[in-house]
Amino acid sequence: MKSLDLVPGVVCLLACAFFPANAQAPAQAKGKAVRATPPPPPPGPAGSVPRTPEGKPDLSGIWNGQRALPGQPDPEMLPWARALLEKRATTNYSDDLEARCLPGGPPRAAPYHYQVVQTPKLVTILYEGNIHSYRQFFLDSEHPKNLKPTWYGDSRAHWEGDTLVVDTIGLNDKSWIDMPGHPHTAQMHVIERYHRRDLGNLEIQNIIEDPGAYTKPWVINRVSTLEQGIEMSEYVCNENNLDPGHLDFSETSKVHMKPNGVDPPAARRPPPPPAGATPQTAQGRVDFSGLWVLQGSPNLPSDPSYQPAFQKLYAERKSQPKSDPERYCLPDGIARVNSLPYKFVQTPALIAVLPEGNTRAFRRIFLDGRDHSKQLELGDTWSGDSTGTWDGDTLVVDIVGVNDRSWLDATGKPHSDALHVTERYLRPNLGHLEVQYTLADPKAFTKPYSFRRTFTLAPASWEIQEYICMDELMGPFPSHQSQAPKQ
Amino acid sequence: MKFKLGVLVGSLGLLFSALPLAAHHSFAAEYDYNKPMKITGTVTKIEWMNPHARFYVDVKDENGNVKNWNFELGAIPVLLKAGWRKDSLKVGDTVTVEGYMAKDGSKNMANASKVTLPDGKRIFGFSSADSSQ
Repeated sequence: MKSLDLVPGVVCLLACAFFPANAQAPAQAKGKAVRATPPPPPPGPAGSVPRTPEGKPDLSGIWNGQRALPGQPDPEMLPWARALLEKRATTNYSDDLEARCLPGGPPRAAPYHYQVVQTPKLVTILYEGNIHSYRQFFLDSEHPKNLKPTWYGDSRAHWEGDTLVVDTIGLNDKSWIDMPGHPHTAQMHVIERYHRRDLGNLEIQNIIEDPGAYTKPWVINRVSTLEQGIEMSEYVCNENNLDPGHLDFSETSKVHMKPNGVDPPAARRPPPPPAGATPQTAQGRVDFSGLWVLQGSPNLPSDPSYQPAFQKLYAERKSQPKSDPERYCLPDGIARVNSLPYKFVQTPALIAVLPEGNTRAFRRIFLDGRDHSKQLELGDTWSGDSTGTWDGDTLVVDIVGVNDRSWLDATGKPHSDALHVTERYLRPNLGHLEVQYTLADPKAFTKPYSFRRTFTLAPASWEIQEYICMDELMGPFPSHQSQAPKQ
Repeated sequence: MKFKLGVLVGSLGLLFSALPLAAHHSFAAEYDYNKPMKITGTVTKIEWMNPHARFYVDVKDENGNVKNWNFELGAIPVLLKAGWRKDSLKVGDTVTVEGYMAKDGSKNMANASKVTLPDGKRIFGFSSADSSQ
């Protein structure tokens, strides 16, 4: 096999990445950095568009990061916005909060995989990276009034023929629209039009309206291709992030992580859950979908029986509660929960578990009969690999492939990377979810450890609130305040 | 050979889609295109970690003095997509690394854009150097 760097196409792509014929990059000056948007990918696999039982295009699948099509016009910008864009180029994009592991926010496209999970009333986007989080598109409903600005905003969707049209408002002004650093204000209104052209190609038209920064709507056409070669991994950008100390010229380099981490937000206590029968899916399975809140303490009810080395580690951690990874916005890992709500989105192929708290690091429980090999090939992760099988009305979830860095609860109970968790999920009625956990860890425990948790269904008026832990851990960011002229 | 041939061949197609997609931070903010570097040495440590993988190489100069270099690679999801795995590089491997020096003046710290393995295979580092992102 030839050396890869001799493959002409690869060389060309490298060059294209440096010197793209793409109008979205700021004008190139000699010696000045130019942050290019990547070239469009080759077409995805051919085939017909899959459809849902309702006859809508099924956008489900793992997609490669969106890429802008070449030759699109520059936006028409207000002077302050143009000046800020140019300043970002001269400072080498050092103030990009993505390097602080904060969300891109729509319409920015991360270069990593994302997965679409589609149900008739909710379309969820799960992002592999930066940040490893999710967005929700609520179908056929209206934006709430008095939205508080957030990174992801509030997204409402409807179908126009075969195109899913997503309308997003309520965005904060901290994110960049793209890698070259086009700014926006909190007035931004984003319309994304998702059209699955065929099996392997998803076209996304982004229409950006922001009278605070642009003189007229700006349209960015992008495409994603279907990923069939590799499973989605888990990118926890803020783990070991040493980059802020090496970024030059940066205002945000002066911002340091809070040394003792941050306290999690206060728990919301739901009223008693509604009464009713256990819901079923169209396939006749128990439907676990819903917004669930833990009853009682998130800590384990007792100590596992530890091997001596892990007993010692546990004692060390108990004396240093501020070293809890959750305080530094790292995922809870498996078997640990907190008191904030968790949303379950169930399809025949998987259950997506979307936590409100901490890092919003989702997990997926695969129901498609796969084994662990596809995910384990990619190495261990905070969330491991969860596969589910049915035992009557009980969903039995098998989890392996976890790293050894998460704590089992806030008291610091350790585990090893040999941890093997079995969860048995039961929804005995509409309002309750009961989970029986068995933790086997021959490296850390002398014997398996079992316990049970109960969750109750949150009222219909509740929804996941956006909590971006890194925002609190690193903020406030001086260069990201008051950039737009005062009205 | 540290890479399975099948993985490499299989990822050729993936290279085209994965190549320019690398880092969570701007290349130019941390590294300097005007300071390319190339060294050969022995791998002493691999950090397969977030947000970028890193590896360390002992390099002997003409006077026999050994210095340990610190190289940044791309983000793990991008490396995975390109066929890298946690055990692709091993301690003791002799490698040649081409890349760009750190901008903040850190000596012996660079962004690895190409790594040549002991058997002559060259693989891309998929770091921010590949895209100017």
